[in-house]
Amino acid sequence: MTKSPPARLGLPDLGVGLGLRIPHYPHVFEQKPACDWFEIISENFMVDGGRPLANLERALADYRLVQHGVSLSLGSANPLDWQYLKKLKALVAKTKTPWLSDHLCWAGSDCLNLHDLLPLPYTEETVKYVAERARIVQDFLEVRFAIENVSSYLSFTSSRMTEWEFVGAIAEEADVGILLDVNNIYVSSHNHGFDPNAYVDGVPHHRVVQMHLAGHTRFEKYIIDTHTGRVIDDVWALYARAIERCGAVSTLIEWDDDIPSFDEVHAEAKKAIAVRDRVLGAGAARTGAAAGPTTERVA
Amino acid sequence: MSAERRYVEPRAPESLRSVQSFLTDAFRRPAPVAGDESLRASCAMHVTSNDRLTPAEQVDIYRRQYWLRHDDALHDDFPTLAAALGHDGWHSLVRDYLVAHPPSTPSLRDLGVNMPAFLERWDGLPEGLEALCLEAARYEIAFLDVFDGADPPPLDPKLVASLSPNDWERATFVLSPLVKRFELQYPVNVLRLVVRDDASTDVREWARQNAKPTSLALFRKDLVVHYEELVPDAFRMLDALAEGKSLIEACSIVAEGKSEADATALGRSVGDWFRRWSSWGFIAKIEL
Ligand SMILES: [Fe+2]
Repeated sequence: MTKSPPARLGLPDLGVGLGLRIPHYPHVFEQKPACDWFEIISENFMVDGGRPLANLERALADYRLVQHGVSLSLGSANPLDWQYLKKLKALVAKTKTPWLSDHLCWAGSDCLNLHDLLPLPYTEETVKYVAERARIVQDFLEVRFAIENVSSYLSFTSSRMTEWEFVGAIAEEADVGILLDVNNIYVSSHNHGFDPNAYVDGVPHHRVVQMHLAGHTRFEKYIIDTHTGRVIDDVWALYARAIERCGAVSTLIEWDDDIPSFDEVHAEAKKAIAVRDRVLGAGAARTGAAAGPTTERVA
Repeated sequence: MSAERRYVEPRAPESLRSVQSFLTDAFRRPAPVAGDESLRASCAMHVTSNDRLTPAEQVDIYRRQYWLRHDDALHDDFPTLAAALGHDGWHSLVRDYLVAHPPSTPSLRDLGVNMPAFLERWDGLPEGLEALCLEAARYEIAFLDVFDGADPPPLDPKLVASLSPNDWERATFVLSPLVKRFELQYPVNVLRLVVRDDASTDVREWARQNAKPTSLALFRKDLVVHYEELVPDAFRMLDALAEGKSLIEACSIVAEGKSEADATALGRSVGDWFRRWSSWGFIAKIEL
């Protein structure tokens, strides 16, 4: 009999966290509100000194932090940026992040970086190329690496598979985790006309080490992933399905534009906890959720 | 062995390289993709259409975001310069700047590093405000460097305590890289605060009322970026120290041509200045 692979690739379920954002610093540092964990944007702390690093130390003193990057440009035809990777590795040593994520995308070519999360053509040769780079990144950083599915606003004539087949194939071939952004699935399913449920059903569930939830902005002809506003009901339903398939997975609320009070963002985290409890039963305690000065919710 | 050489990086598939190259160029176009017939045709080769959007329209979503994102990032870094240029002037600067200096590093933080040099040769500066714009750009880029630059290693208090008066006089000093010095025609440090409170400030009018030679040190203390306006003698003194002159040499440079009374007054001030500068961390190293 073959043993089934461990859920979350054996990583802990930290519960439901929030993105650590500047407008919330005074509240977080002074009130030290209960929060299962915080996600930090790695690049914001890859500086030489000053306030960003002091804030990082303060956050680390009280909370579990997980690193999430936006500039790796994993799928770019440019060579890997080793200067960037070395700085990233130095930050990993400081934060002791249990895993590290960045997007399955490219950010520019010909030595440019457009600071965007650009989609890739879903082809076998791209799978091979990107998987090899993901493997190198994970090996060099010496921490579990996870790729996040992006929202996209264009699709390629050269694509030969679905996005979820593409994400799954790279994760399998590189032996990395998946950060499943449920809102991104919803946004892309609307923009490209696929079934979001098929996406959630189709990824290798044991590789999902983290999930993202966020709001978005609907325009007349497309949806943009703006990380603003509350998570909509359809995305909550998709999240419930993802949790049902993957089990208890660390979840993060992203809110990056028109950021409201900490409590308002945290209310979304509480909703996510309620969804998890409803799907998995209230006994599905967050195994790693002891971080933070207190845990507000005692299961 | 260096990290790069420990790994054999895969070669990017040619098709991937060419589509990324094409899109990187298309996203950076200042004008809408749909307006360019050959670009439209190339988009259709690489990008599928759907029931709502043509390939060019899909590419254009990313193109618009490219400009918005980098305009915002530059605006965050250069609020004073933006206010001085006004809405239209700012947008034409952003367009010309990003064409000349497209973003090339992973951090948006680096986006504006070429701005002061670029402005020197840009012909769109508002007449009469050229100097103010250049000064604002220099000041604002320095602000970023001071904000998150590395702290120099702290001075050894034992060494400082052991220095005799004679040592102090002949010692030379290395100033902290977190201290930036400016000699300005306008107090753009004040203007930055003014436009932060009211971005619609009439900068031309402000310049008319507030132009004055200003000597300034920008520095970081306790994680906060501060500025200190310096009297001209203090500025010259700091300049001389930065050039590697000893305290006594710096004093004689500043005292040159002064009356005896003024030179004595200067001697008293120097002690004050030096104590203050030391407490603000201006001195990174003392060399005997
Ligand atoms: Fe996300």
